[in-house]
Amino acid sequence: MHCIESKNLSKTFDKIKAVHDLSFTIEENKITGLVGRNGAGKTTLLKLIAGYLLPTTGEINVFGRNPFNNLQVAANLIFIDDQLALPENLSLEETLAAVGQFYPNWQAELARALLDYFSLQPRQYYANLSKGMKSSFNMIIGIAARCPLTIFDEPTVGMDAAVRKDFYRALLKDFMQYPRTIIFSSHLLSEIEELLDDLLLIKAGEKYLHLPLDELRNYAVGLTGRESIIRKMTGQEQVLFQQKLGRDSIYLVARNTFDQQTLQQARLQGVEISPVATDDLCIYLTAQHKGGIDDVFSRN
Amino acid sequence: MIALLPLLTLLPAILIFLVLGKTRVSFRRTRFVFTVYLVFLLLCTGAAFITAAAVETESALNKEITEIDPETSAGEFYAALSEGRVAQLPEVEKNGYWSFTYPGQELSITTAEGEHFEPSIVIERKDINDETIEITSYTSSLKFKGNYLVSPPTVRRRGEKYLELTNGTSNVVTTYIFADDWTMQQFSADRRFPDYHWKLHSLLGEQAVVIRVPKDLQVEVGRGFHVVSLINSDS
Amino acid sequence: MMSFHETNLLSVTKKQFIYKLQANLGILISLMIIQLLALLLSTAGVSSMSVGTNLTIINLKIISGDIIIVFTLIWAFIVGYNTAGNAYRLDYHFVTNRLSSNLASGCFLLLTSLLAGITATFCGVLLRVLLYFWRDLLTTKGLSMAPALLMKGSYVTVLYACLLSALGYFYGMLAQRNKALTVLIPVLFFGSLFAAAKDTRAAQLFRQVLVFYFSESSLALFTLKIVLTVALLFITIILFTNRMEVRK
Repeated sequence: MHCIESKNLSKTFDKIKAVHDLSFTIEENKITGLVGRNGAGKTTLLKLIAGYLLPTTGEINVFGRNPFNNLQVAANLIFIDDQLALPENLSLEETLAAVGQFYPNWQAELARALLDYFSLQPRQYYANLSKGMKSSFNMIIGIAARCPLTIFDEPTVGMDAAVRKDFYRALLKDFMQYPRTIIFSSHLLSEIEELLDDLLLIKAGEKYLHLPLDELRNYAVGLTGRESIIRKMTGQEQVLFQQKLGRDSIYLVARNTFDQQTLQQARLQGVEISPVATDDLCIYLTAQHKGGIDDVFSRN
Repeated sequence: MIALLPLLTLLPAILIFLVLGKTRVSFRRTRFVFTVYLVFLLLCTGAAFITAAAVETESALNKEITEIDPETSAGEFYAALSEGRVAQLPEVEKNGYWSFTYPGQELSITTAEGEHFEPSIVIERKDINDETIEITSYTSSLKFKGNYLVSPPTVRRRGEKYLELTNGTSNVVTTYIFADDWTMQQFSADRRFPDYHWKLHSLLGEQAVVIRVPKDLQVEVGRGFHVVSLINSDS
Repeated sequence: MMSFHETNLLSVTKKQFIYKLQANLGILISLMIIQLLALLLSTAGVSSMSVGTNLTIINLKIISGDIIIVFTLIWAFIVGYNTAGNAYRLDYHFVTNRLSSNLASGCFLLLTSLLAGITATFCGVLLRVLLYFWRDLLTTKGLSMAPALLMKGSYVTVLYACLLSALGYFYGMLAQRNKALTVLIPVLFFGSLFAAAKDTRAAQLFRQVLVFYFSESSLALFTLKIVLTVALLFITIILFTNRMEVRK
């Protein structure tokens, strides 16, 4: 069953198209990573899914319903981001209790244990927490709520690497026990890669890629070698990224549509073939210029 | 009054905003403090009932201020005064008595220059010539905290044939009275603000000075007096 | 495996109400402070009159809970306004929709109005008891009010508090949608109040509005007027916010 279905979804703020003609479906009980550059429309898309915003045109369905102002959808969804506003006069443990009552699957013990593990004092106040600790607390809420649809929008802001790792693990463990649909938007694709089933990549408000992560790993190959040889191999539309390494050698990332024979031949001609890390790939895919930042400087 | 309304609204509004902005009291503490407040108010209400029950039975004051009828009490006072039986009125009390031996033939009663002597005066001739002038001050004013609201006049002899009566010291009394809240008054039968003016006037009561003189003494009353009557006088 | 969880408006509203109560309970401390402040101001006399002859002057200070009640009602308005802001800021993070948020706010304001109205009236009793011990009373009449009168006073104050907090909530919601209204409405309001001193059409209208509520002498009709006004305000807000985008 589809958890989320979007058809030609657009959202415009003051003539700026934050989300443009976006169509996709997200299956139930999968963890989907939402990736895109700053301002690509990730947060707007997530807020449309959560029913906070009204689509300008198009349609979005969550659990087969229009999520906007929908109580049934709201009851099955939790949206965690770094804008989470919590009552100032409640301590962390009181906040957990107050929030927990909204969710029938709330895991009070798990929340308490996570609080303890991440060294958050139950008597502390949210307002006095550091940025990273706030993020930790938000994520605890997100995990413990065990909502059929859990949305994390940049949930790791301010957390240090160790804490992030622990959280990914906690999320994955809890997901294994109680599978649910999770959307996770993050800049740090390399870190969350292990977590994800699918990846939804958007660029300037439009869908660019939506595919299982396994496929993404084989989506492109890196070719390093003499420019003339590599150019011959690749058509113009295949090239995702290129970087001159010397006078006539080049590093080029191309869509992996090569057959084994071509690759074998290339290797013989001294071309080095390497896999492309997914986060690098996403950067190349969403870049405006094929040469990256170098383009700006090479022009002068 | 209505021009003050904006100020009256603005001031507390600003205060409340300040207080609201500052209060970040924890949930538990709020619940505790507010419960204490509620209990305290309830106890005070209980205390009010008990105190009021204890006080109202012993205080005659409560009865008087509400049941006084200012018009009849003033009328009675002056009627009794002119008939020489003011001392017999139940609400009237003597608040000053002076007597002088005076062998002379003529007496001139004066007050301070340019002043008006507040109490009414009655001059009463005795049946005998005993060479004694007796001055009695009466008042129907209320006793407040053990003192009369009005102070007795000063009486003294001056020179050969003058008797000087001057007003007593002036009093300013601040007192308090309870009224119902406007939320209660809005639906009471008696919606108008109670008319305290009349009642207060009657609290101040009336004042009179009775001067008893020997039978044949010539009495001359100077300016600034309000003479109610001359009793037993031929002229 | 997670299954879709069906819910209903009533249960969500109830949860939202409890959440709101926990989040905003701190305002009761400000209610207390405001009432005690008003009480302090009232000890000097809510109104006064002087009566006297040339010799004796009686300054009569009239003591009532009026200032406490007025302060409490202003508090109720501001709480209504704050609740609207907090609803907009806090509600939509967890299970809610616009309707349940407004209903929960309504329940919350009903509760605060109830507490405010009752405490305001009983704070007036506290004032009288204090004055009995501290000042020279002309008469102790009115020190204790009949329970029926206290109940009536509380009831009416609660109704006024409901009206004021509904107005505050309405204003707060308008302000959430359009920041310009935040400035415009007080300017109009205080403008018309100042104008009320003069005799303009706005002033007459304002006076008529006041008379409509303040001069009603039938308790039943008064109740009806307040209930209808509050209902009207809330229905307007619910319709008005139904398409409102949140957490922009």
